[in-house]
Amino acid sequence: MWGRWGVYLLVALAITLPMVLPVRIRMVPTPPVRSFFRMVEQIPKGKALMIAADFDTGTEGENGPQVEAVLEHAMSRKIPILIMGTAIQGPELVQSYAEDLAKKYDYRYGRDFVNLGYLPGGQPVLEKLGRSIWQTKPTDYQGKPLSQLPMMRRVRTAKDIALVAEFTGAGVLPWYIQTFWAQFRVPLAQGCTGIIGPEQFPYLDSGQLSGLMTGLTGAAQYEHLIKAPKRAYRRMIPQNFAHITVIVLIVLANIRLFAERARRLRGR
Amino acid sequence: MFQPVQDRWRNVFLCVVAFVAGVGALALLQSLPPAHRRRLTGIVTFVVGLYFPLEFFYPRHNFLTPWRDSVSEVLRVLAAFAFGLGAVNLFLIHGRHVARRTPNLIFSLAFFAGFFLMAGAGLMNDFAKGFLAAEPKVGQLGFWEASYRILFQGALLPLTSTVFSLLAFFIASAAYRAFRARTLEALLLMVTSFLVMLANVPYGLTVTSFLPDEGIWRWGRIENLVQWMMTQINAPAMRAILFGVWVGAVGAALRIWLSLERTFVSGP
Amino acid sequence: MEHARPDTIYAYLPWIVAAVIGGGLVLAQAGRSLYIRRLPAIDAIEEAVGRATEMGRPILFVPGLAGVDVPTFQAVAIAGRVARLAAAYRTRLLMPVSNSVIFTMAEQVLREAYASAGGSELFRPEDIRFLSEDQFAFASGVIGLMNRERIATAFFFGNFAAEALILAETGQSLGAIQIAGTPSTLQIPFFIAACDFTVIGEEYYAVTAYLTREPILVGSVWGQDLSRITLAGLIFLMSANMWWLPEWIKSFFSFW
Repeated sequence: MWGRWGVYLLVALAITLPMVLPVRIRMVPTPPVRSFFRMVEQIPKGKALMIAADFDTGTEGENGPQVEAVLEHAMSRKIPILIMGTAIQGPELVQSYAEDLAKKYDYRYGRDFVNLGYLPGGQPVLEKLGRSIWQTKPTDYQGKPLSQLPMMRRVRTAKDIALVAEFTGAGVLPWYIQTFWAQFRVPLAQGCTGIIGPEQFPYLDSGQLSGLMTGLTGAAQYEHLIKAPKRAYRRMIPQNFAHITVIVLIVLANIRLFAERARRLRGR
Repeated sequence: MFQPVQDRWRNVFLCVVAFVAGVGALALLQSLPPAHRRRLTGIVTFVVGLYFPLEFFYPRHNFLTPWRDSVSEVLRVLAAFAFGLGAVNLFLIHGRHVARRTPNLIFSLAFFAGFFLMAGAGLMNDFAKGFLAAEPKVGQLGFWEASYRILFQGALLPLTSTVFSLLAFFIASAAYRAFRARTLEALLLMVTSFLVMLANVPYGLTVTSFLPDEGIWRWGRIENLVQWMMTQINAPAMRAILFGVWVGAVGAALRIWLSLERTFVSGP
Repeated sequence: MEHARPDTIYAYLPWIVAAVIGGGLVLAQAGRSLYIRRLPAIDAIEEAVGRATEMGRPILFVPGLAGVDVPTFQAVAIAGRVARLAAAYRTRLLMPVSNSVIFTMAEQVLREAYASAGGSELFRPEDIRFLSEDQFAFASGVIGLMNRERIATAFFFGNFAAEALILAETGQSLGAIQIAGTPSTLQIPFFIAACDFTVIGEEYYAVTAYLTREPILVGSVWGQDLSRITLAGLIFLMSANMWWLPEWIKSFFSFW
């Protein structure tokens, strides 16, 4: 009965049914997500939040809602936002989220948020960026000179950045730790995909990361904290039931194992 | 170190000279006896491999640093030469299936269709937007750009996500098979996996959310317990494995650099 | 541009590690017998190849998803040893690759492996296939290959990402015997759950030494183990220095 196909069918039902049925779940934010929220909440007036969009469309399913939640939080607090990325598609994706949210919070490009675009070159480029943003990338993602963007008159070096929020599905965090955290003493927070989450906990434990959002769960918890449940919350519902299904399957498998053992012992 | 060549014909001439010189060098290398060829390859490997550690370990900017970008470019160009080989191999294999009308003919035809459609749409979009279609006006979506977007965003990305989504089913079947309490270690593994899974879903977090988040009772909350496990048990274990892996990688890299491990070059 | 800082120990540690490994090489060259513990996963390779021969079905070897890096070189080297066994048993070996450079290396290595086992005529260049550099395109190509060819044995050695479990579970569903080895810590749990034998962590870099028993390789692995012990001792000493030792000793170690 519980063959491979039975398992697949149960998982398929657990994922698809909550998408069509009206189900609600209660979010409980975990300490790393609360720390992330606190870091954004404590950004002082006059300093900027740097969003490092180091993800592509492949991990947009998890990183996208994370970035959107942080953008909405920052915009609600009127924090200047600087967008950049070491992945090609990341800054473009974040730009589209920012433009959608800008209408709600009366944010204007150039005055309240700027996108530097894709910065190739890895860690050395981040080091240069921390020293001088203008010298590293004198134009924005569309080629407009930074001198024409009012926000950039106040944001010139790492000293003007209060927090770097990095979003990725790959292992690029050490670049930011070795540059922004170690050299320029700028706090870091990260939103990562679920699969690389366990690798980031050592940095959280050592204090090099001040906040961590892991996967869709982290994004949904952050949306709960900013009281704006959106696509992370909606996607979390089927994921929640899929996890519960896996737990139930494991319990059933073990019940079967113990029942077989008992039968064998009785047979002796 | 090197500036791009501005003159187009000089650029073409240099490329042709470099290509002919490269082919000549390869032909010369092939004509050498195997023992001499291996010795020469070993010497070149050693000299080229010496560059990066020397440049890094020599403190601060040194006489080798200006060459770093050029050396990286050379490596990228060499890798690009191999790029076409993959496509040639695919063409040969699938071409053979089509020519011999094997049972897998339909898959080979699908390969050719996908290859030429994607390559064609991409090349036309970049180099000949008006080929067999109306030249798009500024701000207008042209035929070839629309085709490229349909194929990439409409077909390739959803197909990638579809294959990725197989993981949900495979994780469930792997968990059903693997998490059985046959031994004490397996029981510990199972209990830990339960806790981590519960901490990653809202329903799991609500189970212990009634407990206070301060004092001794905070350890009864599943998210605090799991964070402790991830940072104090999982993270040290991962660090230990990575520590061993990286020392092993240094050893393996040393063997390759000194041409002591040649089995990956010329077989056992 | 980042460079080593000579005022810390970190600039010298790689040289210490290299020197210890070099010591192992010298000892091995001098004829000393050096011990490497048993690796059950590698002992099972011959059994796995034999099983494929009995069933009359091919063997699959996947050298990972990454490009030109040390783990992939190791994987190709291991593939050469497996190919030699497969040639001796007259069994077909399929090797899908995701990188063009590795494709050329693999073809050369396998051709020579077949030749050294006296099975040059068995070598089929079309059994080494470049599929795609895209992660999931490669994964779907491999699982298609596994299902069409009904492989009996699968080897997964190299760097893997999320596609690891897809490949391993497909092999499970076909009833194949599977042996995996990867330095990717995140994929180790998936291989342990889905494969019959798994080589984890630093064992991965000892596989070629274990298979060939060449003195140089064994000496290098022995030296690696000794350097790990040295580094672990250093970590313990520095931790003790931080927490327990008096200030005058700490100032002596401030260089570290």
